[in-house]
Amino acid sequence: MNLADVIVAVLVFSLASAGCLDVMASLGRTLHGSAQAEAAAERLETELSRSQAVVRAGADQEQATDLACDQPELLLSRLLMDGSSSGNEATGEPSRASGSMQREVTVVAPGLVRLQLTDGGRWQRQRLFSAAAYGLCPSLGGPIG
Amino acid sequence: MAAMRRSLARAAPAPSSQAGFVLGLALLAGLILSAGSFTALNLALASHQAQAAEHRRRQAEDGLANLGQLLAQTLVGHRPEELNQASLSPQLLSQGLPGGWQLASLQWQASQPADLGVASLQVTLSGPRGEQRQGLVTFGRSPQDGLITSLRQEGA
Repeated sequence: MNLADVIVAVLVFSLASAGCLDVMASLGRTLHGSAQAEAAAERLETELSRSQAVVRAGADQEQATDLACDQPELLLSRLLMDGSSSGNEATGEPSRASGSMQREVTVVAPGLVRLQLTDGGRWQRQRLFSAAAYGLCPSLGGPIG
Repeated sequence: MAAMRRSLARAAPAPSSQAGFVLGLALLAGLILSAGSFTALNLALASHQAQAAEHRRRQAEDGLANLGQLLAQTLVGHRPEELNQASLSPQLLSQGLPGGWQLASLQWQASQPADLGVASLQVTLSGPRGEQRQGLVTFGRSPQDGLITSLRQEGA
């Protein structure tokens, strides 16, 4: 057997094996990261649905109050902040929700509030909540649904 | 003498076909490993792309839902024919729509059979990659004066 042939064969096999091992390790890390990202996206989705349910229930209870007609955005902000797991009431300030999730409630216009959820800078979701859509002042109409 | 001849035969170099076999085997194994790596890379890329597509779909849903809220803010207490796409605040639209998405069109749908208590608005959004997403926003409407009274369902 030629020594050069053996060396070339060993070299080819070693390079291929090392490359394959490297790719497989990267694949493992990528799949692990994908699973985590998927779970984070699901958490954001669940949190959005939960926030909508909280606002809907709160608006049903308080739609005829003075606050609902005078400062509906304040009521919406309060409902969204009270509904968060942290219970932080500072409107406009980001607060920590479950895990690495950040929750920010901002008044963008009279009667209009934005909820922004961020998960570690990876995913970001946002929903608007308008007083008219939730029937916060009876003169503006009824609630959703 | 015979033993010496056998010993010499064992010490003799292997035929060249055996060397070619080892090299061929190594190349074949390398090829198989490379193909496996390539497949794994494709799998990771497909997974990443699927996840990004799913996120874009969810962001488009957010955009439709947000647009429903903005339209409710604008339309409740008014008649459907008063809707003017140009009158929607660009600043509020940019707050409600995800990055790169734009409002393409708004069109009232005729209800079949005619239901005076409902007004349905077809919303079309256009995405950053040229994709389009449609949704139906349904409003409650007063049969007496025709004014929109509530948001019934957003998105679709």
